[in-house]
Amino acid sequence: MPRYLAILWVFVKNSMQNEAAYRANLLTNMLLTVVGVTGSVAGVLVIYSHARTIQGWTLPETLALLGVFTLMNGLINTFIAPNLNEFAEGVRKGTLDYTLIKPVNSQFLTSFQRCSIWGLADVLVGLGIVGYALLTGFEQGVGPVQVLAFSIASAAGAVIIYSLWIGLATIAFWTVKIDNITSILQAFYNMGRFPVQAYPLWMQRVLTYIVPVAFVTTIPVQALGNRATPLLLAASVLVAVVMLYLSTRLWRLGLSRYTSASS
Amino acid sequence: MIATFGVYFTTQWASFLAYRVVFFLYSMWAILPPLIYLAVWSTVAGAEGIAGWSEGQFVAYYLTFMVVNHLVGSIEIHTASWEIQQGEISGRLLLPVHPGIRTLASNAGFKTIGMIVVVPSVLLLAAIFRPEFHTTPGMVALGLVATIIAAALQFMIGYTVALFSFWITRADAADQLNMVLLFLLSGQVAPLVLLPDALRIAASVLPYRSMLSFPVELITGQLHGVAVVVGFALQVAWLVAAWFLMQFTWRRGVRRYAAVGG
Amino acid sequence: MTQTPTRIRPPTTTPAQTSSAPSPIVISNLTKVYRVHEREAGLRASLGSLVRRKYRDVCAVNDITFAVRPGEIVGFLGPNGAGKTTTLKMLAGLLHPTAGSVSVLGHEPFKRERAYLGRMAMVMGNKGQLQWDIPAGDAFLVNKVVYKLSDADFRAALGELTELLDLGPLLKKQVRSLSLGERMKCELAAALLHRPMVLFLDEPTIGLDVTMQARIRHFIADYNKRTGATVLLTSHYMADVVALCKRVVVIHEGRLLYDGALAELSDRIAPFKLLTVKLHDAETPPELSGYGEVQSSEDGQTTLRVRRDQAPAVTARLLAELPVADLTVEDPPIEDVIDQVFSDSSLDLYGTANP
Repeated sequence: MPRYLAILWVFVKNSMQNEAAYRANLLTNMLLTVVGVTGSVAGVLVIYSHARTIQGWTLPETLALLGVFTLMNGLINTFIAPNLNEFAEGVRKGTLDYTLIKPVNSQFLTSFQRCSIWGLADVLVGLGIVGYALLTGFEQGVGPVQVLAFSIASAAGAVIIYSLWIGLATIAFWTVKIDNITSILQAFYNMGRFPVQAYPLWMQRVLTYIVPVAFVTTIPVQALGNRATPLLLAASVLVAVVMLYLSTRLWRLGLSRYTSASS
Repeated sequence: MIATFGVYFTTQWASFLAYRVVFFLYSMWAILPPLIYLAVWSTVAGAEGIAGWSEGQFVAYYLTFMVVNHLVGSIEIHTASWEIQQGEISGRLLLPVHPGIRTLASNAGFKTIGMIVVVPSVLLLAAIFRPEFHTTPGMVALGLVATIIAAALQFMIGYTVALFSFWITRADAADQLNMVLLFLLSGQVAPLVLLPDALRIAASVLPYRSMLSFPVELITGQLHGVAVVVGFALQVAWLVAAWFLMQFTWRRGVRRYAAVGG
Repeated sequence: MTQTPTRIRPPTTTPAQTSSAPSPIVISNLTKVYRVHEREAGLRASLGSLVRRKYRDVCAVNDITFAVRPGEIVGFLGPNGAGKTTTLKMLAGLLHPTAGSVSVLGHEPFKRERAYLGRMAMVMGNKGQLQWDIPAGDAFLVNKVVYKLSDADFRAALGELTELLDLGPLLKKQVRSLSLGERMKCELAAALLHRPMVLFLDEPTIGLDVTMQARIRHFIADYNKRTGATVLLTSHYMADVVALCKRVVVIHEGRLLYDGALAELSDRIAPFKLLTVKLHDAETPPELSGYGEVQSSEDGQTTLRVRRDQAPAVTARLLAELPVADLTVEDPPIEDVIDQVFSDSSLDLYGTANP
């Protein structure tokens, strides 16, 4: 049984090796994160200058949502986005072969072998925003139970967003030009900036049942604000497990095509 | 030069036929982000409306915004920056045609052909969200004129920012900053009238209102009388300023590029 | 001299096993067929293809059978598209065979069992596995942790490979700033850190300069001697094959054409010698077609192709009858032999004519 954590650690270490060499990038990347997040926060503040709540969501809650959004975005930029490009190239050039002859699960290797630690800046900033939002006060008190629920829902949300991305990435086995497909996913994910209740009902349904972005940002914050029933949490975990399973099936399907049809 | 322009313009048509899916997705770039704010604002406005704006008015505003956004925005600017960084522009500099012409032509071509995707999408959204327009044909016509000026302005500003690549390696940072300001001050987050005073003034002082919000305000009938004239004056002033800024940056940039080496 | 169709018969007896150890690589009736879309140019055709796709079956590997002994270095020869890389990929488990069986180290490669993958390695000359924006030494760490090597084993293997390949100064350099030859050395090292028993090399010396090619060849031979690893090598450079492989397998259009010693191949296909003659009187080009088939005639030197058994007699005649200034007798270059195998349409490959 390969030691997946040890392997992941080497990937992260190597990423730091690479990125740390470009010190100018360090400053600009942090600046970019701050600038981007400031813009997003300002946007939320503008809307709340005209309304006390958005369908029952107060300003601190929506800020916390933005924090979770930024955090998840950071995780995507750290672990997923760099690997997607590498993967599409790998299918095109055939270097995917090297991944396949290693005695480690190929989906795991493909998902994590090229990390970009800059995304972690977004993760930290996102957590910071959530912390700040908590300080300004949620309607309901936040205690250890809520934090636990939040952690579970966030973990489920992270797994869901990973499954969506890797599922879409497997399209590279068939068409190879995936950057456009990923921009569609990015557009859907951007809807996670606001609570899903802020959208019309039909959009809420799309974001819950078709592209389950609702589980990535809205539900974790609902859990934090004690507005998520145990049933909702369970549903969240179930959706995460199902989506992960589907993504592995899709991966295996794509792989079998690669190994039968390519030369 | 007209011939060159024509050539690059028509390559967009070929590109469209060859990569229909890509084209479709690129066109979504102008529509999807404003859609989020359309949805949120119309929910927030609800039955009573917000600050004198009804739900239908928000919808009308954002649908107009989407179309103008498509006609005015520029993706090629980002590739121009890339070209400079990669040194690919060396080859272009040797051609008897200003490299900007190529960028401009493919940009214009893309926008024209992209309407094939944008117009039906906006009509579909109109059927779903039901906009409320309070405007006159005259205002719409003026708005279209303003759109053309705004497109030119956005192209020039964007190109100038891209030219920063002659000096700094991370010009994408300047580009990002431009994008954030555009997001906040061009009317995407909220119609400018709903912004706090400080931001509203900044939007006019900076070119962002002239780049995107002004044409939308005209078409949705928000402006009357003097305000229209002032708005146009501001736009033209920025256009002239941007032109000189672009020329200046280009000349300086090429000189530095030749001195430093590709 | 007329050319009678030559049938190339593989050796009727399999080479005797030198040891009682089982063959690490056994291939039996291996076949691989690809389904390829037929797409014609033109608008009507592309619209039509949206509705009904036309397919064509391409047989890349057709009924190949051979076995490799432990510790052998076998050369895989064939023109482009002959099926070499396809066969190699089936051995590595990267492609699923259409028919037939493959067994490497007792495993079915396509099952991609961890036990198998941990004992084999593949290096492709035109593609690399190392992360290109970090120092080579750090890139090796990925393989260390992927193959679960202990610190001690890793250090020992790396030390040995560093010495054999002269990697010392390269370990701290970023992979992308290495020259092609240096990168190839690092790729080889990375593939061998886990001490595989079977090594598949697909054009390992492609694009390298002559010195580096020699170095890599030397390393492979050395490594094979030290560890007894079985090596299967494809290459366009005959020098690789001549230097490393006593046994070659020749593939053409998916079929196995020849399996045996390299030296014998030349004998079977082209039992000729090349006589290069230079006469004292270099002015008038001599009329030598009576002695043998004239291959070339330039700068006063004429090269004749003569049947091997007739070579001594022809040589004697030339020396006796003409004012010979210089005469050399050589085997035809292996490249020519191979080229002839693939281009000679009069070669009856499947033995329907009388030998």
